[in-house]
Amino acid sequence: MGRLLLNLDYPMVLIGVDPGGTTGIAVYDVPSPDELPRLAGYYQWADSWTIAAQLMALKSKVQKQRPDAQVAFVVEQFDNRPGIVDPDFTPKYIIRDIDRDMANEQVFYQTPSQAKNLVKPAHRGTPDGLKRFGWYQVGMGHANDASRHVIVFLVEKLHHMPTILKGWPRRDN
Amino acid sequence: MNPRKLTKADLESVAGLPSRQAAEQLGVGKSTVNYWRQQQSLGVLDALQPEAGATQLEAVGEGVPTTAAEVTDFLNKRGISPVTHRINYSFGGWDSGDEVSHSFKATASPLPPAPAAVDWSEATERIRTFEFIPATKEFLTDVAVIQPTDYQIGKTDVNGGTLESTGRALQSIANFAEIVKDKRPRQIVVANTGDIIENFCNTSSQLSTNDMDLPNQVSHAFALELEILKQLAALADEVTYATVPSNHGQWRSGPKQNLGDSHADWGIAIARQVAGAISLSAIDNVTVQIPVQHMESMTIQAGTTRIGLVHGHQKAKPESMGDWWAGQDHGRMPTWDADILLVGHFHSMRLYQSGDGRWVFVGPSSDPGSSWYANLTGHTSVAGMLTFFTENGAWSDLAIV
Repeated sequence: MGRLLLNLDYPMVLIGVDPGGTTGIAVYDVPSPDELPRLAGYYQWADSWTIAAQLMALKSKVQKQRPDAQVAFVVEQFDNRPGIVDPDFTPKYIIRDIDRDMANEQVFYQTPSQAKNLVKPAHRGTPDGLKRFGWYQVGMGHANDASRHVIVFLVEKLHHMPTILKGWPRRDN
Repeated sequence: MNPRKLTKADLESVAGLPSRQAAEQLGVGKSTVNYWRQQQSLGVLDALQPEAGATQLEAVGEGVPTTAAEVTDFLNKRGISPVTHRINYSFGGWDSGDEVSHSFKATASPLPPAPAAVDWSEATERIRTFEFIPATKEFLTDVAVIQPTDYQIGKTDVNGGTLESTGRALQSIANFAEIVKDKRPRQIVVANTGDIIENFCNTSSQLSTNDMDLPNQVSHAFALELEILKQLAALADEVTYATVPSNHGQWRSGPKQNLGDSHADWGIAIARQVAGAISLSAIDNVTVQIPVQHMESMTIQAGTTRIGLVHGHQKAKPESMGDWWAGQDHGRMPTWDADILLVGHFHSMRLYQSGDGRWVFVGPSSDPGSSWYANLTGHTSVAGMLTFFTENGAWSDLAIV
């Protein structure tokens, strides 16, 4: 599971996926290494069976408007955490579908914990880490999780400087 | 041999007891208790236990299956099939000397139901209301210009034939696309300064040296221009394609036997076909421009810069094109008020100033070279396409790609 970072170049569209009973999807348009990405769309869907198909349809829709951009997917992988009684295995089935139906796509998996510093407030009273970027959507918790994974990918894999400067947690804050 | 299986319930019933006491209570050896407690601490006990809903089957003595075919039959009679169950089985047996006895054990766990087939149309319908709002493109530069010239499709020479010329042209476009992605201009100008095909009416040797007949030269050049525009259309808001008549493009009955006016030219004909093809496609940001009737040159608007195009066969030397331009200016001909004049024909890069600080660019070619010229003078030129960026009549980032 997980593929190498191959042939990914600007401009690109990153589609974040937070698979689960309700799957969150966040689409980011990343025009260049020098500009802040735009949250180009987001939604949540409470149906696991068509998520992989939806992602492919989404890619097709995006490419009609951005034919010059590469499209890649950033997906939260499933961790069976110790101590969780009766965990929801839906993400496993969604990831199975993604692996099967999107074998030729650029799909990057990230562990849930990689996005944790954009969830937990660094200090008591500080807001959700995602709010620093201006991409927090009220009532869209799963789509927000998908956004967090895109941000982590931008920062950790692409070293996207505008994103880092915009709101990536620093030691001095 | 594996130790006897202890279940989670077994282990819970002796929780807290030392291994020896637990073993006595369960009627197994101390090492068995230790083994299963270790599995439990590793968190793999569940995986080693029979799955929920699993069916245990055992048979001893008469009618015990001893072959795979008999096993299938044995399980089928009990309503178990590999299609519906995951099956593990093993054979056992012993020989007492007088008789041989067989045994058989199987565990059959029902498989989860197969996932429903994905309905792609349903998935498409579900994202129908999703609206993608792309980032606003920020232009870093105004206009990028590329000057393809003198492909001379059909010609063969020291650097190959049509295949090699096409490869060179597409490589130049790919290199240009990389530059454009980085600099992000608002407009791209593709200024083809002629000699798109080799034709058969320049020298008599073309009849034997060309690797393509005339109809194929024309259709190949058309496909190449269309491919170039398809690749570049996505990279800027506005793409302008322009071309001018040339000596290899002219409609002729023989060497230097012109038959029509300046528009009786294969390059112009291809440009018209390209315009038609673009109008039928989904590409809506490409415009095609050709000179007005009876004219061999033209000027196009590239942002705030005016760029003149002429093939160059009007003069014998590239250095003379400045003088030609001066005359055009005086006669208020199409290129009279251009800031930069692009010239093809000479296959060798030149760059010089003319008049009131205007510029003449003579572009390199994509053709397979000229052994005739090399034999005559010893000179050869770098192949490729000239590219530069322009704004307010000035140019920058000149390169051969």
